[in-house]
Amino acid sequence: MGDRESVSDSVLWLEATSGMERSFAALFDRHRVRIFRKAYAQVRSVADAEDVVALVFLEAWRSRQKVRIVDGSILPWLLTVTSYVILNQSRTARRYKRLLAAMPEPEREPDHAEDVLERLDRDARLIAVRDAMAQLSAHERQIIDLCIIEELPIATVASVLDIPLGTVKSKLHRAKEKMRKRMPDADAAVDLAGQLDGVRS
Amino acid sequence: MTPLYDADDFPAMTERRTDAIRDALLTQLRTEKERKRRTLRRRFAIWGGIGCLVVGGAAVAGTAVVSSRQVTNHDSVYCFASAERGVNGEYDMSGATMYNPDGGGGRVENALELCTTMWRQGVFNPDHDPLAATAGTGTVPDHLQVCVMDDGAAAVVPGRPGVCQAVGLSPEKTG
Repeated sequence: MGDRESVSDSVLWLEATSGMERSFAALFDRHRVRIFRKAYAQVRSVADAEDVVALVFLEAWRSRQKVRIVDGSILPWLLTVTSYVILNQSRTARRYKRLLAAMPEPEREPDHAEDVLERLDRDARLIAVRDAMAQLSAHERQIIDLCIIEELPIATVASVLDIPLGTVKSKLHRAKEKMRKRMPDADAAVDLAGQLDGVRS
Repeated sequence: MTPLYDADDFPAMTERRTDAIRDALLTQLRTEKERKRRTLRRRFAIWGGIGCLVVGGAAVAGTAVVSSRQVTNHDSVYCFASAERGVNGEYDMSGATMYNPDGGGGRVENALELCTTMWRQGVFNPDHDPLAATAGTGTVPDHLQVCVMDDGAAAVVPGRPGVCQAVGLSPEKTG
């Protein structure tokens, strides 16, 4: 297993699409935590976030011809798919209802989701981002999500969305302007404003 | 690359569901591969079957077209009133033979001539009376083809060349 950890995503993905289940499992274990956390930040339920993880990886397998590996990593593409899945969760869940039905019911044991939720709600930066992003178009939200939230370089975002670098920059600029206008004039927004200015190019 | 949400104090996936998701995904991979193989096999079988049918059909059609036969049974001739079969596949025709005073039996040497005579005498007219004392008059079709029945007898069918195959008979082999 130790060997698997040093193998790049691109190699694992190539092996997985060639039929090596072990490589697909390795990719799943490598990225599931990040996908789960991203999903959890949005859906605020452990069970729903777990479903999102399943759907993201299933979508990755189903759309394996479209998967884009950027700088040897599949993560940017998975994060993009995560956003789509969260946005269209009910539709995606319908498509894969058989897979979801095969999974065990979520455990009823008390988790600390509520604590985290409170922590999240206290986190003014996340709230500010979420509220401001809700006003954007789907495409703008996608770009803000990848550039600001995920802090991916613009070049990576352009690659993973398969659009020109200039288009990402112009859309990002417009989205940032919209977000600035809609952000409350409070200390909580200061950090986000700093983030908006500090996008990696 | 550490976004706001990517913090260790977030809840984690439950072990039981993580294992179940991994298993379900790998099962999906496995079944899809198997399904693809099955689809490929089925597609191959279907197209192979269609190919066999096409080749077989062409062979049968070719045989039907090519397999002209000689008239071997001169005892009788069948004159067809039309090139269409009835609902039960029966032919619409009249059988005829000629009396041979030397041999005592019938022998038809020229089927085409015999059937032409029958057409001319109005035998195939709808109002034809077989018991009438005098022969009637009728119209001879523009085209008559000589075909061969299964028993080797000649059959004269109204229609253009190719009509023999159309009614399921072999065309007469001449020469």
